[in-house]
Amino acid sequence: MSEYTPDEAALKAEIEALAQNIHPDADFVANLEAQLMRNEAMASARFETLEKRISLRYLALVAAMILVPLGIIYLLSRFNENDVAPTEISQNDIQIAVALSQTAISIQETQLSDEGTAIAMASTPTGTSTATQTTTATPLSSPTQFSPTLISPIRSTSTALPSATPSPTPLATSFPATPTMSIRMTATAIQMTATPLPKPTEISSVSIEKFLQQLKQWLDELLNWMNFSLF
Amino acid sequence: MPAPPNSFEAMDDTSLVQQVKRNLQGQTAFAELYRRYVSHVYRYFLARVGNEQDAQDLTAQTFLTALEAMPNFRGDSKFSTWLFGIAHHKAVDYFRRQKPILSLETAEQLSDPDPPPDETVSQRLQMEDVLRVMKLLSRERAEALALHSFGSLSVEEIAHVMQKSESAVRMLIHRAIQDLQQRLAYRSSENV
Repeated sequence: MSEYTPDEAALKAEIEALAQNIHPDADFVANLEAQLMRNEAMASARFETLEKRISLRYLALVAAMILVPLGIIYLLSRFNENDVAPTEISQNDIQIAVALSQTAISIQETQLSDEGTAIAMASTPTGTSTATQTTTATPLSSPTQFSPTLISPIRSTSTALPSATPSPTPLATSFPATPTMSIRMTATAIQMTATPLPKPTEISSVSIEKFLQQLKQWLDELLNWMNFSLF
Repeated sequence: MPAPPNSFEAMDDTSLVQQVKRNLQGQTAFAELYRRYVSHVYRYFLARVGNEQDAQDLTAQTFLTALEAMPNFRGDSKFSTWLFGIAHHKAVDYFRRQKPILSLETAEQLSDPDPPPDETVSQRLQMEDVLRVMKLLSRERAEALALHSFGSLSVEEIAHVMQKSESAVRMLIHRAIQDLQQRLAYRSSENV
């Protein structure tokens, strides 16, 4: 495609020969050289100053590269502690609640056996009463003891611990105030264990978002400072 | 130990650039680079803009820019390629600033100027004629020819400067020569 005809090749050679005979004006060349040397002398003076600033810049960058990851690790470790803490507390809560419920149940069992003995002793002369009849005949000490709000937790207790808890109806109808309070404690304790804890992921996402905003602000300030120090 | 100034003439461009960048006798090293390329750059601009004053201004701008930008020169290409890259951008800016003041009719007249009465009509190619006719070439053809014939750049370097393939550059130069020949032949026939 780029094969030249003899005429074209001759013209090309002639143009190149003519171009070689073009020379800029000697005064122009000398003046421009002097100006360039002056500019370079000023530039080299500026360059020395710039070198010092650049070294400061690198120092700041190195410091930032070390400090920022350390800060991130430190803050993340703190966030992790915060995330883990509620879980540990909840485990403790569960243990306390289980212990409380076991204590309460043992109290109930003790009182049941006492009550049963008392009923048996009372029913022995007539021979017609049963435990159920006795419970229906027992007067209520307080209406609040048998309110649905109490019965409901009692049922939940019996559901949660079916093997250790007696049937709910005799419990609710036969116990006086003291066993009812203990059952209430049990229910409250178990309700405590059932209370959902705040999700750790929600806490950490919000915290990390705040942390990233803070980090961005620090980096912006650092960059601004570096630009300011350089220019 | 910095090289003595007398030895700079024997050094290649890369070594001179390193001297300038390390600021070891930088002034003398850049002066040597300047002396090596000032004529090439000036010729290139003269071929592109067609008048000495603008060619001198653009040459000065090119070397001043090169001096300032020298710390950024990574050495990926030859110094001459890098320098003519700056010159190319200066020329592009120059033509961007120029308003299209020549009408087509005026442009046609440029290729057929009346010779001065006291001038002997010569068949020999004159530089002024070439410069006039080069203004009529398309911008890319004129650029490629100016870089090649006046700036003494190789096709590979021109391809780097113009961001084109080497075959495209060869084609541009060839078309520029063909175009130039036709226009100069037309002018010569008119003069005869």
